[in-house]
Amino acid sequence: MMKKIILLLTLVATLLLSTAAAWAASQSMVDKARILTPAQRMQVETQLKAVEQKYGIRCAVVTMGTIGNAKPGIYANQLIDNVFNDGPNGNIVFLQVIDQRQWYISTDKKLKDVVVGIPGTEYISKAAVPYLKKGDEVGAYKTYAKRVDELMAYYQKHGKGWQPEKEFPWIAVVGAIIAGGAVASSYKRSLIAAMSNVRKEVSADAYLEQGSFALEHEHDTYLYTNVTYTPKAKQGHRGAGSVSTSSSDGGHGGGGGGY
Amino acid sequence: MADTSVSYKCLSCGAPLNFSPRDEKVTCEYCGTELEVKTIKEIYAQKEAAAAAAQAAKEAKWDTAAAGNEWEKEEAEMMKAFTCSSCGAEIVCDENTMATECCYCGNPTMLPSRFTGMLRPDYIIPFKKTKEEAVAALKKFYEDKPLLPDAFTANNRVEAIQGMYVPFWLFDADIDAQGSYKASRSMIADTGDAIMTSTSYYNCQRQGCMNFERIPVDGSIKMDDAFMESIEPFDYSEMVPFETGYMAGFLADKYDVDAEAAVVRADERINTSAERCLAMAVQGYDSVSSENDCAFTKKASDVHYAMVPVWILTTRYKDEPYTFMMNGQTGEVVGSLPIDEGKLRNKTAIAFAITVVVAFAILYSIL
Repeated sequence: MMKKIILLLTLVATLLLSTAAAWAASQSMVDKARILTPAQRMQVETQLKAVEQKYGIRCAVVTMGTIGNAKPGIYANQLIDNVFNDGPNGNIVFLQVIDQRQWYISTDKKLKDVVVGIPGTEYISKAAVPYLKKGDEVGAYKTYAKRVDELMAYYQKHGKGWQPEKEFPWIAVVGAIIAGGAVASSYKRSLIAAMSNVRKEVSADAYLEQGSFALEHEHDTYLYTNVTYTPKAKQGHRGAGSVSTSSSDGGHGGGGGGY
Repeated sequence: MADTSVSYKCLSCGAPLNFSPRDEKVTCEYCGTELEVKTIKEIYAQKEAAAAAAQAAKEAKWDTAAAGNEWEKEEAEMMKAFTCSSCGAEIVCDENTMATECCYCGNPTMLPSRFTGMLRPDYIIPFKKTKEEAVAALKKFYEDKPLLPDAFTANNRVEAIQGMYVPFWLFDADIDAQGSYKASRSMIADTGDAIMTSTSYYNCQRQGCMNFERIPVDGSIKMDDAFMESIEPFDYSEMVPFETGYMAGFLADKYDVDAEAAVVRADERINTSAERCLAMAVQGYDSVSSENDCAFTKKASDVHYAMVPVWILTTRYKDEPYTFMMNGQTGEVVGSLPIDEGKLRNKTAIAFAITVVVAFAILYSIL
């Protein structure tokens, strides 16, 4: 059933894209939602082209008023496969869906090595998406272009995609030491206890005549009730631009979220 | 002057007699003569009566002033002298000794005046474990003790081993008990954005009756109560009416903690058991805790005086004595062993290091 739904959504996305194939032959800033002025479109287009020419990639931005019931991730992947697929060194697209208030960054297989996993995607989105939240789309797209530029430069310099440096794992170290102390202390107590079996008996259970216990009276009285509420941990609240969904597969990278 | 003590001697060769736990007979280690406990009782009943009478006569004339000035009055009251019927030497022992050995000729000696009238035990649990079995059990007790100093096992020799009948009070009680408990029942519900936990508390009163049989309480001040309770339980099915013949070759003390004083300890143990029994009757709740107000009344009670067998083994390590005790009937050994601080440190450090490495690996992969 699930497979059928995904196939249907993919077909819808493909249909939508086939009608729009023409619009992207050369433009990298495609404003289908019509949220930018011509001057703003030009401004963004210029910056995207600069990055594209510098690295031989396709770096696109697409705004859509709606994509029906399609998932932004699947739709963005279709854009990479069918529309923005002419970059010699790879393709990347930033999709913004207005009615769903969703964004998604999708890359092809080549740029998966540049925008590495969720940390790589968040390197772009955590800088760009806060502008979307403020309604500054131009700021968001320009920041996106700038971050793609940075990631490409890093890749060319180091021969591998940028990855956040891991901080020294203080929490793991402290936690491990506390656990070690607790286990060692408990083990020490058990070792010492094993050296003596002299203990006073606390009860006379061994001398209770079997079957002699008979309950003669019981009375239960209700006292009071305590009610406590423990809030559930909320998902997707790791900060603006955090990746909460991903439709990445063998041929696509990236991720998306809400704004 | 009549003897104030009675030595159990072989009727055939005159050598000292000993009770053999293995055969449950009184045997002569020299000529092999075996005698039933009942036979010994009949033969020596008259002698014991005469010895008791002689001791009574001697005590009537007890004069601490005449004994010299070396003993304080209290000491003189504690120490009593008996004449060994074998070699005639004067044996000095404390006021509770019922059976001992003559320190000059090694003859097993009974002091009949100590188990007459109210002082006579009702029952005795005969020794089942021999001295050799006690030593073997102690060695087994040492085995697999992770912190035992190597020198303790390498140089260890049992310095002293003594079989002793220890006086015990056995309490029977049919009781009525009542207590109150705080119980709770919880319900968990998902309200969408939170988990609601509703816990209702109840006061639960329970009352019931139960019977206890032969709760043992140590009747000797000399014996550590913790040791005596650790060697429990005894198999009462092998308990027999008291016969002095079983005491041949063993030490025995009469009680110096009377039943009135001992009953306090029995009541403590009864109360704990009653509280547990009643708590188990509080059902249908998620948690139950006692309000610590359990109390009981005795509907019927009885108390018996019994002698129980204990092997006392003493060893020495670094000039410190270490005492172990073995239940002379079941073979249960109890005691506290010395600790090798170096071994303790090393084992704890290894446990710490392994845990830190494993915990770090787990936490690092999660965080």
